[in-house]
Order: sequence, then C-alpha cells, then structure tokens
Amino acid sequence: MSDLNEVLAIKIENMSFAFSSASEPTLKNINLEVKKGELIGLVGPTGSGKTTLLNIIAGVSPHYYPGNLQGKVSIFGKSSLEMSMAQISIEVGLVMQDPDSQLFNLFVRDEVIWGLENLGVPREKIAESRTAATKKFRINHLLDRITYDLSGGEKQLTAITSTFVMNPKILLFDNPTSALDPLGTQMVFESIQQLHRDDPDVTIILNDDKVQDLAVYTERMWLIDGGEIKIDAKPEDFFTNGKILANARINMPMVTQVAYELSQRGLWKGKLPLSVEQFKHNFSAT
Amino acid sequence: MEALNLQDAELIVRNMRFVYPPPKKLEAIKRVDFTIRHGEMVALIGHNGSGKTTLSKLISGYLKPTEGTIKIGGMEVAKMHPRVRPTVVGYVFQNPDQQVFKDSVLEDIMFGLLNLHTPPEAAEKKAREYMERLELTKYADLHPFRLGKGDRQRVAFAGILVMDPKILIVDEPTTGQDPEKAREIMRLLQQLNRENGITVIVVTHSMDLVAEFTKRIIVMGGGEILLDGTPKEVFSQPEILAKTYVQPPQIARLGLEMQWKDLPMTVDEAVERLTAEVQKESVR
Repeated sequence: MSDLNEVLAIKIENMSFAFSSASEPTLKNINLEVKKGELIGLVGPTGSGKTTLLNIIAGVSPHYYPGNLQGKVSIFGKSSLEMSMAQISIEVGLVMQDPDSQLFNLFVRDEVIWGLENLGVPREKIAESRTAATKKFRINHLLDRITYDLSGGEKQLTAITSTFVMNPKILLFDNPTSALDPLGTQMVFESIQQLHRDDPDVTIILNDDKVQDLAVYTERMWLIDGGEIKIDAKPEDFFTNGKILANARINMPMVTQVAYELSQRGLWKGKLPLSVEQFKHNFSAT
Repeated sequence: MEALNLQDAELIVRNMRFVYPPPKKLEAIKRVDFTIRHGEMVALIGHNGSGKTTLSKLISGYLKPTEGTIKIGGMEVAKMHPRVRPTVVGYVFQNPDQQVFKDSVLEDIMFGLLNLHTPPEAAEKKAREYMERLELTKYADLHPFRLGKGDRQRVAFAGILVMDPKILIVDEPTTGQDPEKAREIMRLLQQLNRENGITVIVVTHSMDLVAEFTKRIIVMGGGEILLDGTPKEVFSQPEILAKTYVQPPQIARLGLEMQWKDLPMTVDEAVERLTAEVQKESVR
C-alpha cells in the first residue's frame, strides 16, 4: 500500500482497450502506478500501443477516439471516464509527434497563449504565464516568428511551451524528437530535463525511440510490447532483461550492450552502465 | 562535345560554389572539391542548414552551380539532356510525398520511364521487377497515399531505380522512422550498392547507422566540407564534428574515452577488444 497521504498521479488497474474498429485489444491488462513528479521513459516497437496508452492517460481515448475501455484509469484519484475531456485537459498535457498537428496560429506569440485564451484566463495572467513559459523553454527570440517558418526543433519547443503554459500536472510526450535533427533533439531533451528539475511536482511520461537518451534522462522505464507492459524498472535494471528487449527489437544503448555482452561471458560484474562515463568508471573498477 | 561514360560514372566536383538567387542570396555552398568513385557508398552529414540538401540537389541537377563544375562519367550534370540525366543520377526526396505523381503504385513507379519514352510494356516489366524486389507487388493497384510512410518511401525508391541511375542520392531516409525500419532502409541501400554497383550517397543524422553501414563520410558545416574520411577517421575528430552539431556514435565515444587508437564502430568490435584486454590482464 502506498503512502495514504499521497494520491497517485496516475493509477491504472486491470486496464484493457480495444478500438471500436479492431477485433483485437490494443492494450491488455495494464497495471501501473505513477507517483507525482516521476519522469518515465516509454519504449516499444511500432504498433505496440505506446501512443494508445498515452492517449488513454490524456483522455483522448476513449473520449475522442472511441473504443472499449475495461478496468480503471485514475488521474489524481478521479476516474478518467467520469471526467470530461476538458476536465482531463486541465490536468494532463499531451505533446504530439508532429508539432504541425498542434500549431494553429500565425505567430509564435499567439500560439503560446492560445490554450489559455480558450480557457478565458484574464489578460494580465496570460501575459505573465507567457513570459514565464517562453523564458523556461528559451524561445523568447522566436515570439515574432511565423509558426510554419520555424525549424522542426523550434516548432516542437513551441508546441511544448504551449502545452506547458496550461500548467498541467501531468505532461505526456509522444515521440517528440523523431522528426528532429540532433541539435533539435538535444534542445527538446534538455528542456524536459530542465522542466523536471525546476518543477519537481510535474509528472512526465516520455515516449521516444532514442533509448540511449531515455536511459540517461529518465528515472524509470517501461517496455510495452504486444499491448502489454513487459518491463517496468529503473534504467539500470531495465537493461538486464536482454532477451525481452531483443524480442521487442529494442536496442540497448551501445555501451550498455557492450557491458551486457561482457556480463554474458562472465567478464562484467555489477551494474550495467548507461553512459560512456559510467562504462569507463565501472570497467576500471572490475 | 563531352562523351558520357556510364561504365565509370565517377563524380567529380571541382571548385564549385552555389549562391541561391535573390532575394535569398544565401551562399549555401562556399567552395567545395571532391571526387566520389563509381560504386562507393558515402554518407553526407552535418547540421540542418549546413548545405547537405543543397549539395545533393546540385549533384542531381535540380540546381546549377554558380561557379565551378560537377561532372559525372566525364560529362557536366548541368549540360545533360533532361531525358539522359535521370539515367545517370537519381534523387530521392526526404519527403516521399513530393514525388508521388500517379494514382496507383504501379503507374507511379512507371511514370519516370514513360517520360523517358520507354515503351509501356518494357516500362511495366521493369516496374514490376523492382516492385518484387522492394516487396511492393501486393500494393500494385493501391494509391501511394494509402501506404504507410516506409512503404511510400520504397515506392519513391522504385520510381527512381527503374531508370537505372548510376548514382543514387537519398535525402534523410531514416528521419521519422523507428530504429528497426531505419536499419532496413540502410540494408536496402547497401544491397543496391553491392549487387547493382550503384554509387549511393545517403544524407542522414543517424551516426550509429553511418558507422555501421558506410565506408566514407563527408561532413558539411557552414557550406564547406569540414571532414572527409572513413568513419574511424571522422569520428576521431569530435571537436570538428561539434562545430556542425554532430556527435560521434556512442560506441566511438567509448573508444575515445578509453583512449583507443583504433575506434570501434560496432558493439561486437568493442566486445572483442575488451574481452581480449580482460583475458590478457588475468593471465598476468
């Protein structure tokens, strides 16, 4: 039993989900507990149900994409099925893979506050929130730019800022770096890390293919394969499941894989490294 | 008159500079010189805006050099007849949707050949041959837009390959693909390079794939070539790479950190080397 005084940010109990048009469930028997302030990395092969899981936490499914949801999903103790899409969206923000699908305005300065305007927040408050959010994600210099003229990384940061400004307690990122170059990717990961440091109460789930970065930036990782959670562990324990990861065709970070192979030959003892620095440190120790 | 030699379609870029016309007037390529031999597989890397795509479009004849020359098989690309050029050099766009022209996969793949005045029967035969090879046969009658992104990209590949280009330039085929799909695409390029002898130039941001699949890397930064060499040579220069926001793959960084002279390019190389080291240590 977890601490009774602390309500879980997300609690999922025996949850299965099947889209109305599908014969097979996309997600099967999911049980997860997420505490306030956790930063979780989500990996899995294409079509494994990652996006569907995030959509369910955000209420997009089944509220918007209909389907049959069994079991229970609670957001801060409230059943998400009993909440309206609007109520959920105050608690949960979702940043989608393609920033173009969530940029609606001509100028960045309008885009950033679009959600707040729709909620009818007073003008002074809006201006204040915009200043704080654009400073946090370092996009002040973009305010007068036209949204469709931005680079991929700049668009994604604008989408993240527009989501963050709504002050959600849970932030979900669905493949935010897949279309970005290395510089854009680094911008996004660093912003998420900064956010986690500055606002330790915000719960973050990050679905991304870049396992190497998740291993370093996150504190807990989930592997989802065939609609089921196959691994739920801290990064350093996550990668000890070599066979399960190989079945899901998920590559470990390269240095982790080297250590894993060495451990199979009895040449590596102790924890698996997640970065080059950790590798060197642990290797010279053995 | 220059003669076009397709048996030895060497690419020679000499003293070439490119400035985008007004109002942009951007000097995208400052002055580059390089040669790519027929049958090489080369990666072109660098940050966004470094000139990779501009250079690709120049080589494939979509843009003309402001100064200097680009020759393939002894002939200037800019002077090739529009019906000859696609049989010499083919360019696959980053976004496959930019090269969808017809309502069915089969017709789309035949489109280029028909424009080259190939008889329809021969064009269809050729198209079906590549559809088989790229596992597209089952989609023959579907509209290309009904396929997933990976399949649409293979349709774009097929539409270029039916024209038998000697040089294939592929712009960021792995961006937006999951890691397994990205490797499949690289395997396909490697196969085309080895079995058909096509020169492959691939523009990419994925350093892991570059290390694993290519033998030569050209690094662009600010419109210039910063480095040109084997993956081992290029990835041993992290400071120069940082100028164009490129980081060596993690496996090479491990080698750098361990101060190895010969950088590993794959996990297996590193495992073998470390195993040997540990065993030597335990004998002592």
